[in-house]
Amino acid sequence: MNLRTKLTAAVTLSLLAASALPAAAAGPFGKKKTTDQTVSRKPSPAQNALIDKAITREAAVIKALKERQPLVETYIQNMRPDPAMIQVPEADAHYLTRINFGKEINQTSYAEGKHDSSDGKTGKLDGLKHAFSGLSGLTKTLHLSYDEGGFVRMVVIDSNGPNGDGFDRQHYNFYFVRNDFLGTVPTVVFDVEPVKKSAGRFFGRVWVERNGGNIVRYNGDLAGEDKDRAEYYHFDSWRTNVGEDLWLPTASYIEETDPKSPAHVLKFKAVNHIWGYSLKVPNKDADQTSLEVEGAIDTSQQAPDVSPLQAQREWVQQAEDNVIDRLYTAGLIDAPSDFDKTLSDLANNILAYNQIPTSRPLKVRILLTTPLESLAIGNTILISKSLIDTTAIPSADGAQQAGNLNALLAFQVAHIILGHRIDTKYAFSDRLLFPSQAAFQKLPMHHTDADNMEAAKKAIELLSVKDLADGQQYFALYLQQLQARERGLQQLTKPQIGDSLLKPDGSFWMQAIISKGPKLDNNDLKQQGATPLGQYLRYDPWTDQVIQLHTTYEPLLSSRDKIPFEITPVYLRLAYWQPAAAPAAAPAPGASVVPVPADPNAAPTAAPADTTNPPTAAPAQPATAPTTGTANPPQN
Amino acid sequence: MKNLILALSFTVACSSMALAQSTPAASRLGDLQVGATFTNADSDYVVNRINGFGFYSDFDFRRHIGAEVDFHQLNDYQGGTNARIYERSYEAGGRYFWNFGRFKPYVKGLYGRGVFNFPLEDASVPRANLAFNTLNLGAGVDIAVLKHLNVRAEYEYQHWFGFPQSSATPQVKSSLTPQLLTFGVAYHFPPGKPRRR
Repeated sequence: MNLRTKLTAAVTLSLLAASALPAAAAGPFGKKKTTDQTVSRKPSPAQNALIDKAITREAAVIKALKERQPLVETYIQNMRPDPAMIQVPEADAHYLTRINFGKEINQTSYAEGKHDSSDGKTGKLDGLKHAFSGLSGLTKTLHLSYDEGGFVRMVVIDSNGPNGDGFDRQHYNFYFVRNDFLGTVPTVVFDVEPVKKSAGRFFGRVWVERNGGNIVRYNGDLAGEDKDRAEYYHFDSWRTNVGEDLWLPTASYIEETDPKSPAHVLKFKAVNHIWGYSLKVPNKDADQTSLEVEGAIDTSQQAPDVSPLQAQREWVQQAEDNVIDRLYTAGLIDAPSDFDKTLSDLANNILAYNQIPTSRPLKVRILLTTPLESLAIGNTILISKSLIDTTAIPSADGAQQAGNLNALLAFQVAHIILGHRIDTKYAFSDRLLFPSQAAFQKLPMHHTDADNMEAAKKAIELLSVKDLADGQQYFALYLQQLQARERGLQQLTKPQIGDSLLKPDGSFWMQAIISKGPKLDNNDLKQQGATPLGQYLRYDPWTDQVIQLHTTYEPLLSSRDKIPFEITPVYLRLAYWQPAAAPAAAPAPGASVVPVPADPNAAPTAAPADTTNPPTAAPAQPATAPTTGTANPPQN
Repeated sequence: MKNLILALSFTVACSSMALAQSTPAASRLGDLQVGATFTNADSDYVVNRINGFGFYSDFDFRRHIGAEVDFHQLNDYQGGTNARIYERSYEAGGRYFWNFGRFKPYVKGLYGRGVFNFPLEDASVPRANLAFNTLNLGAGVDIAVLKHLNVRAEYEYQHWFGFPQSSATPQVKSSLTPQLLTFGVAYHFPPGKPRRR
């Protein structure tokens, strides 16, 4: 064996030895995590049987995810220290994806729509920009970037197996911790650690529902952090009972503390929301349900012919219906709910207070995505869930929330009044034949800057009537609060399909309303401009209906409790699924912060003259039981 | 035997990669550092130890695997300008490393080209250059001093293939095996706080 051969052999042997040395074999440098046997112990035979059941049920969850391909929305806020509020968002990221379960869990992203009015135009500096784009691209690849796939991965415990079901006894050890209740669901808590620590294996705690053996919550981390190159984060994932013995992922909360921060400021926090389980697989009962269609009018008793104007309106209506249906099947708007009706009443009240007649009543639906935006499609107004959440300021009379909602609705009502109608090309069904993930690109529903300017002016006019004028001060506070946080919330304020609250220059379309409110003062605990995300509504992940939260009032103890526009941890009070026929539990006395968004005393004093659509005389009613089975009945 | 070892090491390397399949929540292409070095070496040619300088860059693109490029210039000035002897090497290859907090020990294997400059007895041609293929093996440690700053200490063994045993008998091939002790400082491109892609 000559020297060259010796050297080659030496190199290969050293590489072999290096590869064979496990990452965890840290020797004196490393510290291997082990389960603390003083707080957890080996499970009893009955607990082992429950674990076996949980493993089987976890495979069923994976199967459901494969079949149903729900939507996963991830919203992330990077935090920075702030002397007054401890921490505030400094940047954010938003991803909307649909689960695509192949060999391992993956996702298909919803493509972003185009909202920049300068799109397609070229400027003098474009050449320079292109020259630097390569350098910028290189820098980006060297900077740590969020990967939505890693967040989608959190909807299951382990996706490593051949079918994405690697959660089993071959790969994990289980230790009993305690019995616990999550809401009304009895659970057994186990610590789980991988037999062999390797990338992507779960390390943490699971809550197994005692009756069916379903995992209803899990909280921990994934092993295998690749220092300097790839990061896995701690997460707390929750599931909801959406059907008989079927618990499906609903939400996850993710956060990491900045290790270098003496004040324990977070590096970032994030939330995953999952919904749209019934979109991919049609409901078996769909063909047998009542033929009553939401918002449809029985025209059988009307004249057999239509006038040219009626035909024109029918055509516009058809385009509107097509777009709404497509947005619904793309998983972007909620299924009609009682809360929608409440909002519709508020929108119609705005017309009534202003004595504006309309041929068709306004309808309101909720855009299930997080960015703050609203839009009008024909006579239907869409408002994003986060707009509803962040404007839901708790107060004794609900006036602040009602004032905010009126202002939000007035902006889109103005668009409708001003005839900024939908493009009738959508009356042709082929225009709607595209993948759901392209909905934002294919259905740009935002208005032009000129339309928004006109609508904002009209909206302030609509809000100036006696019955609505008092509410303007609250929306002024809301806008001031958003202005204070806007720089760190670029993705939250960037609309995906509709109209932003902000102009391209960063001021508000309804900027003029700010002068009608008090000055924002974070230290004034009696004053709250905006609330955290997830404050007022949650969705049923199965039916896609929004449901009003029934919470107890939490008094603010300091300005740090205000957390406007911020992500907060997910904590669900779990309950077993109830069939449709079961009555929903009534909210406990005092539980609802704002029982009715509309001010009961704010009904118009006189019916508007010559209106074909009289104002809603009675105040909107509280949400009643949903028409389908409810995954999580309202509770305290 | 050599083939067997190669096949075995390839299999082990592949299996360690397969374990890292789960998508991380934040990632980047790799970890880059670019730096300069000071080297003290046994040139295996002149009697005294010689000093030199160099540059290096590492791009760690897998959990334990990275690529490295090195440049070394080792100078012996004792004979005056015309009698200068230097050993210059350009190397590229891979390294295997571990992460222990601030410390990143590694072993590396690089292949490259070495240029040997030496004075000729013929005064009309004062110097000559000869180039050889080189194999370089080394081990060292990178230490993260600051977020953007790494220092390193390293030992490197170089094997210059086909180096003539002496100028009198250039047809007799041997090898040159310099051994380098290198200290370096590098700018490190840190991962930073994760942000939107």
